Amino acid sequence: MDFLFSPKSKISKKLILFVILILAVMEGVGYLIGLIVRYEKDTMENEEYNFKRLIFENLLLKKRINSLKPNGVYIIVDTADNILYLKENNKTLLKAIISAGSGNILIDPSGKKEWIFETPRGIFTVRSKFERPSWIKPDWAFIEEGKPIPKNFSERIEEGVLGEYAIGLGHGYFIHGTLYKRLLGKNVTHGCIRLGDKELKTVYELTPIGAKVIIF
Amino acid sequence: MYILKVIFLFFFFLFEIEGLSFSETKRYVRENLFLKSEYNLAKDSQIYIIFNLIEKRILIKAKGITLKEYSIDYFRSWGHPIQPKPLTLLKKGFLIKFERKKIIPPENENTMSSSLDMLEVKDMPSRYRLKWEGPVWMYIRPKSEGVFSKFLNSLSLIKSFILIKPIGMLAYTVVGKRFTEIEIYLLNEKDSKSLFWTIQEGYQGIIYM
Repeated sequence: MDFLFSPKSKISKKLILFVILILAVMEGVGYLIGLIVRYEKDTMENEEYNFKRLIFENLLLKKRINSLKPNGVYIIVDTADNILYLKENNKTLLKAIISAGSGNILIDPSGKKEWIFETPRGIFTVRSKFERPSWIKPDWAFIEEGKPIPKNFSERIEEGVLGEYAIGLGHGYFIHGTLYKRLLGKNVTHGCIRLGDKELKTVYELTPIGAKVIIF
Repeated sequence: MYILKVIFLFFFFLFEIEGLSFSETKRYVRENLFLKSEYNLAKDSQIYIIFNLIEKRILIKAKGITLKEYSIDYFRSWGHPIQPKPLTLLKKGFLIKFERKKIIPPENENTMSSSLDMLEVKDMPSRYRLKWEGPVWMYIRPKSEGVFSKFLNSLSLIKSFILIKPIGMLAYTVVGKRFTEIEIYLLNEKDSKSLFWTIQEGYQGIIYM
């Protein structure tokens, strides 16, 4: 504290006080501007409206928004809670526990490629349906296991790991079964959506090709 | 039922509209703007977010369907008023960084690790900042539950009300830009983390207040 009482420090003290004063003024001005803009007039207040038309338009808009909902069966996937909902209009036909993407990163030891194992979000369409599907193992599956990438296509085929059915969403993403049922409810997949056997059968049977799948 | 609706609407138009007060009128105009904005977002094939601060709800929606709903405990706003128009989420900011787990490929298949590494909702931050077009700065926090949470929320209140808001307001006014800040307190930490997981940079949203 001694330095504050030395003759030299008198200048520093004044400087500190000056800075504090400037800051306080800035705070005050900023606060005042904040109060003023808060009550800024809406541009809409200056316009003239036909209110009968406005109320009718609001009702119509609500109806229009409702009409955008998918017709028939559609699927909603909640990756945060690992839950799949099979819906038909406003009715929930099935609620099932799933496993979605782990979010992990795999980097090719050569450093040239990188994969992020995330379930993609957005609105998709059911593009294909398969019974007793075979898994065509992509490159990352071999790299992850420390195996060399085969040159022969037949070496990529693995049977029985995707369960009894697979529903294709495009870009290599599927809703399929799993051998690791104890992991349902956890984010462990490479991006696909895993379902239990019974639930997968229901989803497969009730979901037509072209149905919407909303993943969030 | 349909006829009843028509009769109701007829009488509604006949008697009610003439008696609309200014605040009611403003409400209908804002609602109209909000619904038009939502209709435009719902038409596209994308997920969008509605921050309905009037009803204290956050809705994750797609094609007009509500996918998930979060309740707001309370909120505070500051700065320029916002029109209920679509805004793009530019950035999700957070103090405590979460990291994706990296899979190290084994030397050979015999040395493969059997441990389960995953990124889950519980790994997400519960206190974060969303920067929207405008700019609109939105701070999401869980409601104060423990002593630590209460301390953090008080600290954020002091920081934003005494330091950031006035200085930010002044700075944005000097450069001729608009400035809006909203603090939203969700019911619990789980909701706060879940919202962080669900919303992605680039998503569009409407702030209705």
